[in-house]
Amino acid sequence: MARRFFTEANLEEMASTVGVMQPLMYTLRGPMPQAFLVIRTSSVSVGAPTAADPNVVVRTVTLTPLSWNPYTMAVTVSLEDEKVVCGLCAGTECVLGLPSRDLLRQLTICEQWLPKGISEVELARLKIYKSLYVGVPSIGECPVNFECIVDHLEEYHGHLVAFVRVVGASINDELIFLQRDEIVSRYPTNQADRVLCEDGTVRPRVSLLSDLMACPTFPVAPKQGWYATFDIWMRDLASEGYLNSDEHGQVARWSARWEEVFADTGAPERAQLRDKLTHLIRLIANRQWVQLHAFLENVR
Amino acid sequence: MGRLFYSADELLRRPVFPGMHDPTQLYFHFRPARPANLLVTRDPISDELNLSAGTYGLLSEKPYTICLHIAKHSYDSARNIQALGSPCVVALPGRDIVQETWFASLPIPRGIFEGDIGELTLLPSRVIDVPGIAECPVNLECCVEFVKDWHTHYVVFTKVVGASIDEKMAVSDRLDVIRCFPVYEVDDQTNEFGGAIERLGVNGELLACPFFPVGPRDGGRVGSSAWIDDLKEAGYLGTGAATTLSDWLKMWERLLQAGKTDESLRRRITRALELAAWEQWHDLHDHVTREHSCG
Repeated sequence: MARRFFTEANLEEMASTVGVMQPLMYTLRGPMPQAFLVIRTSSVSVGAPTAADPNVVVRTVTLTPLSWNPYTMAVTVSLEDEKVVCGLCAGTECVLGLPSRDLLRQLTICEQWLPKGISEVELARLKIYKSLYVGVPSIGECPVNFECIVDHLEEYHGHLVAFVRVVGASINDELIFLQRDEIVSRYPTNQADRVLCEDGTVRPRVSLLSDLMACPTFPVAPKQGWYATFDIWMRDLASEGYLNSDEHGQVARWSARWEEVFADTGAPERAQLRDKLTHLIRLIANRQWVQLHAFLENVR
Repeated sequence: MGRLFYSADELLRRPVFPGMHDPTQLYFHFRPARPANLLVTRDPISDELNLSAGTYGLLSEKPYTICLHIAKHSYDSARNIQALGSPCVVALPGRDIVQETWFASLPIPRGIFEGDIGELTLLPSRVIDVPGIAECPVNLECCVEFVKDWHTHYVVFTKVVGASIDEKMAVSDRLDVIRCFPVYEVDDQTNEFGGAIERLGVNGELLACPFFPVGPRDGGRVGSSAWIDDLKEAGYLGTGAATTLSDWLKMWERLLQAGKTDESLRRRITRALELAAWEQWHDLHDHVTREHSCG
């Protein structure tokens, strides 16, 4: 399989065109989940949210998950994007609205760096509604809105990375019974690339997921899933008859011994044990039960 | 259409709506799918390789930097990239190695290489001493630049210092590429023991967003004046209308710099840009002409 390699300088060069990167950079990056970041640039609330509130700023951003409990995410904006940077301070509130396939024009509009005081909400004709947990409004057209607090800010390579904590969320109730494959084909959009057209214009493209594929489950993992430990997995296999009690005992001894000799990296016993454990787990992962029993019998 | 609101605590308890039998049905509406990666690191004690599955996000394009979030109970990865400057490879798996990607999540003893379980092939890196995974279409050779202890995870910023791509993918059409990789973590289903069955997904559709004249030719970062110039040059705005609109924008900028505002002017500009963004050229001309004549 032939491969093409890139140095850091190559990557910089491919990213250097203003507004659009060379197509290969998008391939090296992959499509990124998008959101509308909603902030309020003035702390003065004008009561019920209105589209004409010039203090409300909406920007198209990409999302990065950080932790699930508490539920936190990161968004990154250029430090040159003054309109947004001014409104992102630790402790301030924001909303992240997930865009659907019906909001492509709005995604383009909210990517623009409009002058301060000119509201993206009005330009994009977004309907906003009052959030329940923060003072920043949510976006009516978005299937899901996350109401967030900015917990931490980090400047990094000309960007401001905002770590935000979800304090509440809302969902369009018409969507809640949809099957996952239908949901992912609607939202969120993923920023796929920007294409430089022949006439010099830049066309953004988004992608949506379609095919879903289930990963293996028990016995090719603990019953609980990947959250459990190796010892629990082996116990699960024994409890369901994939390993008999002798075999389970043998595996448990190998595991315990491996822990003891782990730091002795030059020991021949360690190398042998590593090979045995690798082979054992590979046979289980590939559901080769006959070979597994034979292997455990032979190396006894 | 109504809205259902949930607090953060309610979300964590995985709320179920009446009539809903799958406990994950509602919860995963609030966990958008995210691109998955395989992370190759080296154990600082034994020098052995570790492979783990996770998800990544983009931080910046120039330089190319990415964010990893590593669960603290992913002990091996968490330990192996604690030190700033630690090398690692972020490999992007395709749909053809879903099972092998899953194997990288298995809870196996420290020092046993997950890549050996899936019989994956190591790909020598060119810049760092940690190899990539040959079966992954893209391998990103990275150096850790920032680590933050963040609740249940470590947040890790890495800079991409080298990369490689499968030549076939390098010349493929975008849609073919995104149908192949990267895979995304989508949700968990529930197995017969009440445990999780992870599901991965891939992109299947590519949609072109409206662009110029909906925004500037060069994309969004050049400012509204450049957009007006582009509209004039392409014939969407006459010289008079373009001049009027540009004057309004200049007046607005001057007011902002002076710390002042003018609601009437703000509304005029907003409406004009809105009509351009929705390609209502006739209405835009009427608006600019009417407002201009009103002074």
